[in-house]
Amino acid sequence: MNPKQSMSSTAPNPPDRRPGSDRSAVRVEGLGKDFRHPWTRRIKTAVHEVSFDVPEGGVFGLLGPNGAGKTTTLRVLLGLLPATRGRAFLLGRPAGPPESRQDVGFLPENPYFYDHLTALEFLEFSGELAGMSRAAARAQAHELIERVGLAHAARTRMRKYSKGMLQRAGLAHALMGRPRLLFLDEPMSGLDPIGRREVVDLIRELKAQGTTVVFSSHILHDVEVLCDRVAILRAGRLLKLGTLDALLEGGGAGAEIVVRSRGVFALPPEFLGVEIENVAGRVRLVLDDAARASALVAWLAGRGHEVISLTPERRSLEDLFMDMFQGAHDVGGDPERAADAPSTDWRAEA
Amino acid sequence: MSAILAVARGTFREAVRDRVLFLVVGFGVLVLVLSRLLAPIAMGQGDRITVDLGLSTLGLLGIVIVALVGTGLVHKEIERRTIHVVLSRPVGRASYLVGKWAGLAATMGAAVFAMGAILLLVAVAMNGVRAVGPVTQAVVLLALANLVLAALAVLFSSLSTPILSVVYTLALYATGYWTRDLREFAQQMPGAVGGVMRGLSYVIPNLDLFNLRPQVAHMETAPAFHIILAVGYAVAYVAAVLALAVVAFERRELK
Amino acid sequence: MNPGNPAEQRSLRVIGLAVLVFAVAATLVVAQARWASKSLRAAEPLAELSYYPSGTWLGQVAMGDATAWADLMWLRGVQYYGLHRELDNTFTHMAHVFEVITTLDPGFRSAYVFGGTSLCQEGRQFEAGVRLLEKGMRNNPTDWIYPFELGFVHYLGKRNLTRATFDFAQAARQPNAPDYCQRFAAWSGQRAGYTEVSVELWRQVAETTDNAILREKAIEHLRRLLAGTGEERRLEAWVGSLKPLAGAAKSARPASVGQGAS
Repeated sequence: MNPKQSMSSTAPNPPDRRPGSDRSAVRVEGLGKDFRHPWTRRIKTAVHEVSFDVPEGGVFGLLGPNGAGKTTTLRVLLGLLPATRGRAFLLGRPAGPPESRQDVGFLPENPYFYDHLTALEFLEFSGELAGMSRAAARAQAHELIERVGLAHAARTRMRKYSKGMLQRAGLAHALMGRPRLLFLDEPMSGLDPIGRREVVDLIRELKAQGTTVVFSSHILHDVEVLCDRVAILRAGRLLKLGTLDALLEGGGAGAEIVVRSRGVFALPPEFLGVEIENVAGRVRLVLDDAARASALVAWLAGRGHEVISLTPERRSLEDLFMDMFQGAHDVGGDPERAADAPSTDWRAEA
Repeated sequence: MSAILAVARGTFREAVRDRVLFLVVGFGVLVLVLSRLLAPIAMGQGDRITVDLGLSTLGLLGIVIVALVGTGLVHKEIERRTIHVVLSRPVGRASYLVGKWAGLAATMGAAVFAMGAILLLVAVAMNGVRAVGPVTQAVVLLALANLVLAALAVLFSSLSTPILSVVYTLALYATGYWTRDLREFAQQMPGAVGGVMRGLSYVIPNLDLFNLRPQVAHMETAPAFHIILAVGYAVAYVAAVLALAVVAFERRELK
Repeated sequence: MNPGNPAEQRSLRVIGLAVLVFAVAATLVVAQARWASKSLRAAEPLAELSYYPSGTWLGQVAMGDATAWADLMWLRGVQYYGLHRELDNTFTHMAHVFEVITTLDPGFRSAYVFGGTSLCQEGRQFEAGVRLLEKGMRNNPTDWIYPFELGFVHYLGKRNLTRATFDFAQAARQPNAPDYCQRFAAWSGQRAGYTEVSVELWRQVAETTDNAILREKAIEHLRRLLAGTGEERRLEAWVGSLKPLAGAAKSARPASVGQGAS
């Protein structure tokens, strides 16, 4: 599959494309967004200046606490808000005009849809908006309703939907028209653990099909499980950008091993520094260095201990987060000053 | 074009299923029935009263639907962010607004024609076939007036809150039957005041143009050029108002 | 804002196009509105006046706003008068409208006076006019204006000098009645020269009314009464000296009076 080729036949590439951008599904160049209070005319900057690339076919995570500017960035990319500074391209087309949203799907944060429409009608509607014929939209609506597990409520008016059901309907909406680029704003919110699991599977499946997925989250686990690349935002500025591995490198990535206890055991000296903790008939071993984990597991197995779980790097992104945001309180949360701290070389890697 | 139709259909479906609409139409039919009951005490004017009241109710129907459905049309979508669902598709804002208007107009049209059909049957039963022409004309022109009101509702609702939209739309509706008088008053006023009043008389929709009640009262048909003028006026007015809405809405920030 | 952005340029194009559409459509709207107001004089202007429900009922519905409604209907009524004076001099709905107005606001002096005298004279509905004035008298028994106007219409309209004498005398008995009530009672009682008394009556109206239409009517009558008597010049000088009134209706205003009033 080479979407670039099919695209260039329908829409001309912008003249000033730089080398390397051919492979990006999303390109953001110095994008910024100010809001002006309607009466006081005071300017509030939601996004200062953000630049990043999302390569075609990847899963990209926009990460950051509430108010970091994730949602604003997404809305600017989708043309819901005009950019104050900079520019962006979706699948090679300048973001903003309607054409830029061809082949693009979007799941809004906390989606709320039309009360009196059924999910089926809503999806048909969405498909037609995406340019599908009515018949094609109907067929795909049935299919996607099945896919997101709403078949039982397909003909129920959405007024009666729970939050989780709305979230599922929203996902199906985003997928209508089989977009090549998907924006998901907090896709896991409102879902129970089973639902989250299903969404994770769905995103993986989409990735396998070559769909580019950009999603925002403040939940680290989602990002860790899914993303190839991550952008970390705070107070409207990009703090870090890169592959997960690169971001976590040198961050003291550790591991946790849980063993069913067979009495007391002592670790050999090469495992010095491993914390041992007895919890309810189990032993929890915490390493500060994941590299030694497999050796420790082998050692344990050799001694006949039953290893229940090995969780590598489990808290590392969280740690990174904590490290980065620790300063936030000291500077009183002032976005102007707090965000000056990180240097640009953090996002220099690619 | 298909996007406009899709938005229109969605708006229509959403509005038609609102229970409020049934209440409104039900109320209209009730008035029709009640006016028949009044006939015996109206001293020979019973037939006229039924048709008169029926047409007035039809006219009111339009403004009531606008007040209940239309004025929240766009604002509610912005507030609930359902608009993000639409505009994150390859749909321009102008198409969206036109689609919203078309959907609302279709809703109002459906209500007017449903009630108009009943009214026509009643009028024919009372006055014979000679009622067909005048009553049909009157109903069609009322539907045209509703197109104009729907456009205003879209404009106000994309700019302001539902409550203010109701106020604005009602104000224009109330003054809409007075534009001719406003122009006459304007002639008697000194320079600046007269100018403002004359200007207003063109800004306010000339709803009197769509009002054939006097003709219907005498079972007369309106001349063809009246109908043509009304159609032309409605088309131009709707275009102007929607264009204004697009200007205001194109760059609006949808937080 | 962000001119380098291609998205910006496109939205500016959309706005430009919309402005163009607006300009064209707005021009059409104005043109058609003008055309409509010229060519579509409705078959029966202001016919909706006949649908005004009874004042009693309306008063209950209007609750506290009855007088405001009366004001609005008064505007409508005056307009109806002006329109039909220009068109056909028939005032089919006028009696009804003024009946409704005065029920909504029983103290609406101008409505009684204007409605009553207009009905009696141009309206050729003498009975209806008298009924309206008598209603005013019933509702405002101590106001001298109603018996005075009754005398006025009886004197001028029916040359019923006996009734006029009675009415003028009754007006003179009311508190705050101006002196001329007594004077007119005496004149009509003595069967003084009809023209002289008429002139005097109209002069009184022109000088005391605050209603521009009434004044213009009075001046018209005076011109007719004094035509050929050699008094015309004095009349016009007097007309010129009158204090101008606001809101003079154009339709009912002869050019010379317009000059005098401005």
